[in-house]
Amino acid sequence: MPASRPGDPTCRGRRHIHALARTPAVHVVRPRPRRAGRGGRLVRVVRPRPGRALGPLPAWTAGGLAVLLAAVGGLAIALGPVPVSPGDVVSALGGLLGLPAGEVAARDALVVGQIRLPRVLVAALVGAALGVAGAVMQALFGNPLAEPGVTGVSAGAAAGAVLAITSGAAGTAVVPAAAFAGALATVAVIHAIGAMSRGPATVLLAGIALNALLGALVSALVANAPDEQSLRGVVFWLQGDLDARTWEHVRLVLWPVLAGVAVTLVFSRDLNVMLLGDDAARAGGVDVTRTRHALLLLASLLTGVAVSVSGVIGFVGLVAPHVIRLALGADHRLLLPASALLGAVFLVLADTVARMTLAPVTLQTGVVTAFVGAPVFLLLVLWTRRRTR
Amino acid sequence: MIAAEGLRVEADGRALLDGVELRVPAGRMLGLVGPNGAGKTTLLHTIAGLRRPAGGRVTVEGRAAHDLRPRELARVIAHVPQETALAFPFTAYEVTLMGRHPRLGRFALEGPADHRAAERAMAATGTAHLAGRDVTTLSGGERQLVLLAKALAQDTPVLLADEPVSALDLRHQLGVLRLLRDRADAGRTVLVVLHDLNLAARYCTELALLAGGRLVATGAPAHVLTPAHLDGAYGIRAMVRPDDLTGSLTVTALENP
Repeated sequence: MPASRPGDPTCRGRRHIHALARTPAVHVVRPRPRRAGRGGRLVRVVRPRPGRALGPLPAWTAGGLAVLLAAVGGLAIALGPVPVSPGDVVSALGGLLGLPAGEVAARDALVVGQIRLPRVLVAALVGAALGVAGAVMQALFGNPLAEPGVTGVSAGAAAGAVLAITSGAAGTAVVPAAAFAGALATVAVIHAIGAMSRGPATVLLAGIALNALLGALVSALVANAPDEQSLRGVVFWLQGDLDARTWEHVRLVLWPVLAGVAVTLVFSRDLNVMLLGDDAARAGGVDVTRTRHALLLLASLLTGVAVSVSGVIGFVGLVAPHVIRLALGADHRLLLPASALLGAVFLVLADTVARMTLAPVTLQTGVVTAFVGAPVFLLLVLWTRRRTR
Repeated sequence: MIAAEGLRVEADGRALLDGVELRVPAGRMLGLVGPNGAGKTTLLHTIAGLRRPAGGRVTVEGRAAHDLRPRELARVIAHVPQETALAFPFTAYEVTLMGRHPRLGRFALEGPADHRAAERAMAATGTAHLAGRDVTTLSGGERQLVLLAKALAQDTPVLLADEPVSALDLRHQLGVLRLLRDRADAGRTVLVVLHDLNLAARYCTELALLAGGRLVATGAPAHVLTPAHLDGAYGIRAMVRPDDLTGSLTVTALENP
């Protein structure tokens, strides 16, 4: 509508107003017929394309990614200082499951069953946990760059684990529980900061500060630990590794990760609606506060459990959800399970690369994920900046 | 039907709304007008159940809004907020379909009825051609239309819209307001915040003029849009007269001498 602007001659007096009234602005008032096409008439009835509504896509994607995970896992088991042929891998795995399988050399069966399989399983479970935790944090903090490593939640989990070990806590479940508590405390801090200062950059800036603070705490705790042997050294906690992971570690993370991922999936559609912002989500029928608390708890559980057996491995929660979003869109009903599977694939691959790197070069698993993830992070920074400009 | 009785809303001990009495029966479209900071959005949020009143009460379809659970409330009220965060690459169709969320069970997938509702809503708002587009790549006006489509897909007896035409071109402004008025004429309750008094007078069945957290006047446009009321609310001198073409009132603000 034409508003009266200062200096507009029609604003100066009654006579001009009257003149304006007798020469109405016909072109503003009368709707002209328009050609069809982009932005046609509002009442024009066009059947919209169904967009990317969920069809059989989830089943295909999940199936495809599961097959990929199995293939990558098999490859990871076959590769190593002692190569095992694919046929022997299958036979050895069959033997473990009690199936009638072909003969396998005792040494190969041992390598597969006691060394490589548990390590691959730990990698897959940790990758799945971090992939889902990343996707959830991106949605809850409304920032596509959030993930356990970047936000400092992994560092909080590491600090919790180290604190438990150095204070001499006994029992196998104590360390994961302490890591969960550390992750939860960090999430609570980020949540509180986010509530005080809204804005997409807040969570990342808080992450920088928390990573620095918690990393320093871990370093100090490890340096002053009475028995340094039990800690695997500060490097493990600051830059995670899957070296020497055993069935004990598999047992430790298996059920928490599976349960955590499964319960998170229940909130898939709520997460979709919450991406529209708190007010819109509440108006759209989501109990925002309760859902957010439940999901922050789940993301902390997944991160804490993962970190307790792997140390801080960054960028899995960034890379997996973003690849899925680019390929399949942002619907969490597909994004969450696919991020779990792709996170698992990514970490198994990264761990295989770390393991296969030839001496004298030694790479930790977390170093490999950072080599891939950090450039992806930078690309995303540039990409989101360009979009929001 | 929306009713507010003796409504008082506070923030940091300061009254944002005070003594607001409002009734919008079904079949009416109420335009909420007033200067910046008058409390229009606060009133809309309180009716939508996003704010708890410090005094008085709001009922929507006979039930207290802020006591309903979000899912129940969202089946009664659809709310188009002024701004919505859209930072993730959903398609416009996916966003529209989210309007069906309060009607779906936790493990349910959208059925044919939900898809029909979303398609109808997109057709009604003229956004059908955007269905497959990533919402982060849409213009401000296009996003506003998609969010309106989402609210229509919610299919509620009450529809609230906070400045739904602020980012739209003239043709779409008229189209959206006609759409909302048609909803009201079909028996729903529509409450819309508008800045443009001429559009408000032309499309709303009644107006409520809010200033400083209090209602200055409510009723038919001719009753609300008087030079005295406008001076009281906006502090402007204004001419109000019938428009030859539309038959509704037009307001022309004059510079203070």
